Amino acid sequence: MRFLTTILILLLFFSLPGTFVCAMNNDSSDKRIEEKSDDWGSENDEEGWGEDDEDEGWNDESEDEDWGESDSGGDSDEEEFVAGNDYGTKEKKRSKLIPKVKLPFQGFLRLTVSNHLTTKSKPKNLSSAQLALELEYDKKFARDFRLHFVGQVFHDFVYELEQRGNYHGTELDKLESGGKLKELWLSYSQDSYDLYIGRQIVVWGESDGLAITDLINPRDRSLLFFQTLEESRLGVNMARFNYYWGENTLSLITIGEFRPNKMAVEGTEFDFRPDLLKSFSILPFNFMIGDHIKPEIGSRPEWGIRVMMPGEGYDVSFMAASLFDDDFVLSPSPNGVINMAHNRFDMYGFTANKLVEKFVFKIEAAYYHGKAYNRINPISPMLITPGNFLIVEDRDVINIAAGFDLTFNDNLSILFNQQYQLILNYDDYLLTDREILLTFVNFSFSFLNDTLKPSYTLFFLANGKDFIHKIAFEYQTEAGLSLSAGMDIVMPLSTDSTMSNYEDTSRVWGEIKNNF
Amino acid sequence: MNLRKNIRLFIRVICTVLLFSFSASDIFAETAYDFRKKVIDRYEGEDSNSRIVMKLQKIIHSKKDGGIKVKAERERKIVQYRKAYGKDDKIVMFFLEPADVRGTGFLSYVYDDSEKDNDQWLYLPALKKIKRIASGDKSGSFMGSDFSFVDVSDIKIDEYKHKFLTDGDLKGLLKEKSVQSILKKKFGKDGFSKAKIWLTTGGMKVVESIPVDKKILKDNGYSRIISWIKPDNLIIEKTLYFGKNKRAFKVRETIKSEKIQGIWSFTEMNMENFKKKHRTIIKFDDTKYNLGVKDSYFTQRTLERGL
Repeated sequence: MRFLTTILILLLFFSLPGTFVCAMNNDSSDKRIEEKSDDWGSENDEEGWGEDDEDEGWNDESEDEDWGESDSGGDSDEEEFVAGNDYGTKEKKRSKLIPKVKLPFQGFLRLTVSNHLTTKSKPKNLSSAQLALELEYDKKFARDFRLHFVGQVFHDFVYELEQRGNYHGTELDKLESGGKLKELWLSYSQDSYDLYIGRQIVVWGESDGLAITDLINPRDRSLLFFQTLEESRLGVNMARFNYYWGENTLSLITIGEFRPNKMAVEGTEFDFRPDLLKSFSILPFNFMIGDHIKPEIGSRPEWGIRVMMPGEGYDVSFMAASLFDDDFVLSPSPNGVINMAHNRFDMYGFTANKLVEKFVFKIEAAYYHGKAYNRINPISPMLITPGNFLIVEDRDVINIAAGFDLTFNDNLSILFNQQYQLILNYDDYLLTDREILLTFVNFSFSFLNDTLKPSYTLFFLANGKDFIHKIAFEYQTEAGLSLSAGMDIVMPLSTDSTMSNYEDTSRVWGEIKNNF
Repeated sequence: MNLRKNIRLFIRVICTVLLFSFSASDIFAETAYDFRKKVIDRYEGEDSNSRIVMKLQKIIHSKKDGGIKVKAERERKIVQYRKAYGKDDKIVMFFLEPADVRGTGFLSYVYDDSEKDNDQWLYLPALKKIKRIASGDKSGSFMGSDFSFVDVSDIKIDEYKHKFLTDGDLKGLLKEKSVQSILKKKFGKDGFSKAKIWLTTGGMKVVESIPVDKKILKDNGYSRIISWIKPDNLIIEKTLYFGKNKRAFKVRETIKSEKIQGIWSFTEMNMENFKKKHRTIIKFDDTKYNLGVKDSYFTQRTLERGL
């Protein structure tokens, strides 16, 4: 009951910004739209018609014969129609009652509620009831300068309702509420260049849902794939200089801070630690997983360079970067603590696309030089200690993705990407697969003039034979409110597959989002 | 004899005059192709800037008189820049409203050459990514509206065969079930006489355009387009669209056009899709021509940074 009451209060709260948006969007609400249906001549002006005019009239079969639909309106409410005039929508009428408010910020207010789908190891229960507010501020000033801010705060009510007893105080603090500064940057622009300084999100690459050259910003992996790609990107402090000539762009980046991928909070259903420790349980030592070892950037900041060259029917870009790996390798210490280390590697890549009628074919490839992997130390078991049973070694990797975007009419678009990753100097002691095959497919439909958008996304990891299905329905109301619902399903095909530990995280979810 | 001679001479003169007059009309008469080409090539300034208000309405018609009731309405506000590069155009537009699509940018290079696909890119601020989008399917909805990409950029002249229609031809149209069906919806049960008037030339030139092959039919989605065009200013006043199934389903009408800086411009038009019971009203506010818009406006930089 408490939960339902909270939801009802929140729904009421949601309705307010919606009305403000309506009020702002309907500047011309009082204007009636003039029809011009009878401007083509007077009724008396009938020259050109044959002598048999008197015999003519509507053919009764003509009514709705084309589409077989019945009018929802009709003679019964005829008083509501006036030929040539429009009656306003309900929103227009409401706008007269609500004062027009011009907010200095843009953003959204969003309520997401999700419930576990499976019952194998736990009862069906709520997994999240999160209310999030995102604010965005963008201001140009002094002609050439621009300030941009995006921040988000959230509170998850699920911990008040169901799971409070499962967590320690510090973990609960992280999970229950918080905030994040997504972007805060200042830019200076001239005719041929832009300079951006501050916390930014920079996206490279062509592929959707796959990271081949898109490695500049770390990701939030604390909810695995249960959040959107755009939500998962984490801003980092950097300086970015873009130089433009013709239609081409040269982009130089230097990153001043290291932020690793954000991993799941200890004790949550996405926590990787228990499975990791289980895999080392055959060793005669006790371990615990420590924290990230942040690399010393010092005089060697991360950097990246990209050249983008759009052409007639194609786009090409080349990039190179020297980055600390946002993913971690395990770094054991003699005291039994395994820390998460982040080593440096170089990336050289290119992307290209080619337009062929309804297809946009895409390819993206990268060569990683010196990427760190964990390797089992091949020494005598007698010599193994907690500090040396794992070692970290560099390898070279080729990572390629190819695919296409296909659009059918205005109703269906299909995205397909196939990723292939190969470790070149592989050996059997490495704690990873030599090859990784990952397939990404997305079907997006659009109905009712873009108001109803069902979509289906599939990730298929061939190595572990894991399927991840994401089904979503989004409905956009005329007031700017969007209602979404869907299911995220983890479907491992075998018990030892990569995602088998997360099968119970499958969920059904609903979302109300109001942009303002 | 003289009389015979005179008659022969008279006949010769008449024949010569008639022959010359036919030749002259053949030489100087404007074909539907030429006229439609003139409309497509109509001068629209070297560049332009407009603020566009797009209203997407779910509507129903009164069965009695065709009056309209708006059941639901969404509004989109867009700012657009266009620049001519010979016969090609470059267009950049940004969504200002609604809030969920604010900042979304669309860049298009529209080529006159019908063999060449237009280059189009979309910038989605949430994804922070410029995506090339396919332009092969021109029958697709333009930003959720009832206008397709073909409707927005006009047809390519050589993709269609064109002919003028007379009042007699138009009268014949009213006998087509699908035409009668949409006009019955538009004007109501009591509006037959209005529908007949709507289907006259009304002092305009009416051009029927039929795709030259199946590929164009498939790509553009229209089996026939009938356009009513004012001969003095070359403004298309109304258009009747027939789908791939040869049935009329969509009507475009110019609500308001005016001369801005000496250039005839659409300032308000609507497109109604009778099949979907949906219509889109587009208003062009504050249109300005020949501003000297920089080439740099039509680059991916602008798409990412905004205007």
